Amino acid sequence: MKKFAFLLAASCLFFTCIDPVTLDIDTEQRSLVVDGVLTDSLGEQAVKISRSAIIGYGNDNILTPVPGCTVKVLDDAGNTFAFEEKGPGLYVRTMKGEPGRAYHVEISTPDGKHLRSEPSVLKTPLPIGDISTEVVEQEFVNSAGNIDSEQRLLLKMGLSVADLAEKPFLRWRADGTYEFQESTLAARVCYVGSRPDLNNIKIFDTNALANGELFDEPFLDMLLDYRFSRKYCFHVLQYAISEEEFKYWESINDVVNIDGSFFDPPPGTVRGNIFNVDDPDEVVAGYFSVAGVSYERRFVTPDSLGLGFIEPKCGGFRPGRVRPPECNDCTVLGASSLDKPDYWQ
Amino acid sequence: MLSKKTYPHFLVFCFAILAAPLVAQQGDSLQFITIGSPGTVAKGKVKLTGRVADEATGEAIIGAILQLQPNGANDVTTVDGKFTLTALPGNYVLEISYLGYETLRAKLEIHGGGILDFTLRDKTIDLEVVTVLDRGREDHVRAVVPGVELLTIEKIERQSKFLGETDVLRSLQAVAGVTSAGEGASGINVRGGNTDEILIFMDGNLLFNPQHALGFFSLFHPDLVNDVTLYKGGSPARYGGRLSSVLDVRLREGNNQHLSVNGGLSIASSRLSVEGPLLKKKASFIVGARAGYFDWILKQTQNVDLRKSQAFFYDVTAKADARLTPTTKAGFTVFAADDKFRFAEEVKFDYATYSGSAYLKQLVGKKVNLAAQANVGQYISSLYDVAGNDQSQFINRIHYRRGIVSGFYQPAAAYQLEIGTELSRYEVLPGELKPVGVSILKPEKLPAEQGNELSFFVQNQWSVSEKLELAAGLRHTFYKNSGPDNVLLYEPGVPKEEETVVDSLQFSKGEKIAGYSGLEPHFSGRWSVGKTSSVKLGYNRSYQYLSQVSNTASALPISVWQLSNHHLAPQKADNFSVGYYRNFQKKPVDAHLELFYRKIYRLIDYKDFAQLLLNDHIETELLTGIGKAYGVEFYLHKNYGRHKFEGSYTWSRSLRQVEATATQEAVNAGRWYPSNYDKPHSLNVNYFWQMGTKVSLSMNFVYSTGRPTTAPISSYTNSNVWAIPIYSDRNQFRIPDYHRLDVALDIGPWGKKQGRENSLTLSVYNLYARKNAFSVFFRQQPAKPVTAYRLSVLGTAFPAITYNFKF
Repeated sequence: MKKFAFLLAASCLFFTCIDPVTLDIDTEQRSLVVDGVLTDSLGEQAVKISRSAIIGYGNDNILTPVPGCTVKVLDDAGNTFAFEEKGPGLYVRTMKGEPGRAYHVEISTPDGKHLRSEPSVLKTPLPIGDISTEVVEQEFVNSAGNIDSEQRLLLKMGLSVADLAEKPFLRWRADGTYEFQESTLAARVCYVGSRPDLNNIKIFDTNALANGELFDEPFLDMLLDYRFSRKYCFHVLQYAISEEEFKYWESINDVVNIDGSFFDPPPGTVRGNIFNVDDPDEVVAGYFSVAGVSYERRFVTPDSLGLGFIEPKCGGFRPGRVRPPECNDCTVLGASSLDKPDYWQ
Repeated sequence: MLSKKTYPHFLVFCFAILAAPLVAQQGDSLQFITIGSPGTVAKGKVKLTGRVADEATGEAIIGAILQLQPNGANDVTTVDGKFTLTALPGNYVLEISYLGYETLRAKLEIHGGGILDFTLRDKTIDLEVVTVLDRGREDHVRAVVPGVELLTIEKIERQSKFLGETDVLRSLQAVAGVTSAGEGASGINVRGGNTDEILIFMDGNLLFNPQHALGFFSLFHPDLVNDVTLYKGGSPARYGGRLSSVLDVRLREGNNQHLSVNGGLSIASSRLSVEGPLLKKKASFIVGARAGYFDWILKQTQNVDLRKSQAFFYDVTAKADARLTPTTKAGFTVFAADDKFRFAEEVKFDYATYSGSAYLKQLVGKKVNLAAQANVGQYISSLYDVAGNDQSQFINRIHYRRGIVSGFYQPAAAYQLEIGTELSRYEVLPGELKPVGVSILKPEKLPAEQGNELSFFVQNQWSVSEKLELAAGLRHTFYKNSGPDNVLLYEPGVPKEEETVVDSLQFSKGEKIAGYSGLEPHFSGRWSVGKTSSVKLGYNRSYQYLSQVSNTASALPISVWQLSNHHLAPQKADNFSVGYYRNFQKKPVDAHLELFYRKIYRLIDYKDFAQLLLNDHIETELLTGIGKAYGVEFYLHKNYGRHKFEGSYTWSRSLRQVEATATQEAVNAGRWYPSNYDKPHSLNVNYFWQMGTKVSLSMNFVYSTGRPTTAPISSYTNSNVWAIPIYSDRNQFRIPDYHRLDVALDIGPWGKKQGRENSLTLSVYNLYARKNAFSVFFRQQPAKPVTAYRLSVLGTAFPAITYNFKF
């Protein structure tokens, strides 16, 4: 429904305005939130349990972790996998799920609530197809009111499901790591993690494909800036999710894109697959995702994008010039390290 | 289907038919005429002769009824409009009435015989032969049905102007009990009803979307409109098929004497109309066209996307009427309207209405009128995805064919009877997806659905006495949903979901899938209290077999219409109203107070996140509930002098309830909750100042309670997505209140001597630039609290200048 936001802008010509307003919404209701993922990839599977953040109270927009829960994952073969609390509200276990097997989570909170997810069959992962890139120019109005343009990078996916009897529901995610060079004389290089797909929900129902072939479907759109001046590595994840989870993300996409337009669906709380066993009407937010995952790395350089040069953040060393702190010490950047990852090419 | 509840009304109706031929007195004195010389008194009866003619054309009126009271002498005019009455000298009241004309009442002081000529003023463009009701605001006290509003074009012109244009639907929002979801929203809400609960006709053409440009303009060409009647609660039995109200817009007949041209130019729209005789005094035409062009405004903006956008509309309306013989009249109206809308490279949609209607009317003898009318039309809307891999066109359309035959009988001035039948056929194509260009999408088409409505109706109006007038009618509709279609069957006793489909039934062409029928009594009565006030009661039941499924704040032009079918029984409503009306004797000031109550059964509601487009199992997204709306409306009107005033205030509620059953989940745990259109307080004030002979100023002030909204109360993060809202119960909060002041200065007309008329309108909409919220939504920036934002569609003062011409 995002496109309807644009409709609105056009419908109102140039007289429409959007500005903050105070509403009389006075409530202290918080809901339990479960955010968990179990995949077929061996590693630390995690379930986060928290309480939702109340809206409209200063900076209280932070989830409150719920420590002291008992968390276990059960499969349809009768196996139980107990999770351990690694940090406040974070419960983990190193394991992997098996495709074709159904899993669900059971949680007991310290205040005596019993939560449980609907069992979900772990789908066989689908190999990642062709990842391609495209650089596009996009016009925008700058702060001076003039039309300017910027370069953006699109990451696109191509794949075939023509041979599959059961057409999968897919969800794509991408994390990134980039090289960042200081402008000091030593000019050390950091490897910095980034979250290029924050709030980018990219799901795809391959049942809608005319002949089972998908070409160049954009799944990530980001500004081409200094992060691409040396080398950028995308970590692309493709989850084969259940139809229920697909619908969940579809609804989440609707609610996070509500923008007040005529075309907005009436908002409602998206119910995931977790419920309170003793009180099914209680709103428990979040999802326990059971998915087959495939992973691929993709390196991007100015050369590979056909651009030659992208301006770095820290230009050459110039005495007397005030430099951003990370140009003196790149380790001040969040998720930054001087150690070169072993996969780095 | 004659239930226990409807019996009492049926009895009243029968009683009305039987007792009707009794003739009663009627009339206020208006004109005072002396015949003969007051000094000389004739002996015995004297003879009055004369002619009755149309005031505008001078044409003889055939079949006008004359009644002389108290002696009861009466006559009906001949083919050349002549009449003869005899009476003893004395004081009498003469009443001359003819269908579609204002009834003329005159006080006669008869001293001797004489010749009298009368002219009657055309009151309505009598497309429908029957004027069952006294129409007109001035008739509020005398009209028999409560909750009827008549807007003449003069009155519409005094209402607020947007882009310098008067508009029928915007003017209607000044009427007590009529609101819309906000600026730019489609449709109007009458007494808290949905936008699809209103039956809309333009000269007999059924309209499914009466608006252009997402609601900023209506389809009705202001230069062609003759009058607009809105039945807010009770309506005559000839109307049916919608729950809450009827809007009947009638167009003018073209001038049958000489050619004339009307037009107007403003910054974003223009209009033109031409009218004239086809055969002098016998046949006339009128053609009007309008266009709205916003593209050049969009091009002036800073927004790159807006510069690449498009907004355009046009409409063409043509009407011709002919008097074939002195007793036969025929005519037609054809209509086309199209809207195109595109935003940048993102999305585009268009919608169009094409419709035509024709009528034939025949006077049989002096007391019977027969009429036939046919209407064919379609409404089409398309939504395009214009970029990326999924370029496509989503089309939905509705075709309709209607025919109505009725007979009207008026044996005496005090009694009218109408009997008729109506057949409507609807074919709804609920959705077709066509891939466009390099699209990876599969084409998809939902099968068409067919519905027939066959109705019989009878309507009486009877002036029992000077004080009491009754109108009673009955309508019975037989509805059939027929094949070809494939009907999914669900597991009984559990909610309908894709997963609970157990079987399907295949129906061949014409085969009955589902049938419904219902009796719809219509009743109203007026009791006059003295000469200047009255009390009225009204009740009617209605069924709706065709509803728009839309869960957005206001229905979209692309929203699908859904016929009643195997899974979806028709919605049903009972409307009650009672009112007190008063004219203040010496000056034309009138006021009234009305109370209304509506109960809706089998109301359609929606699950959260219902997917309504291109859904072949739409029943899995719907919920069934009940609704009620009630309120009180006050109205005051001063219609004389240089300062005129009109004001209305409404207090009302519009609520619904969806309870959990074995087959559905509840909304808000089954409690009553406000509908999207629940606005408890609503105030409209219109002030008009005739500053000079050629300058007038009008001001409008509007206030209403903010409409209900569902607001997030907390938020959470999941995976890479943050600030996911958790919402309150449905419609538990309200957006800020709405208020606005508009002014307009009309200058002119001038240049009359040169055979043309020019005038200018300077107007400012939203004078004090109130940022009225259309809606409120919520956003969270990283590391900042969630903030509520209001979206104001016209968040600034909006001046316009319009030049109007006529020659």
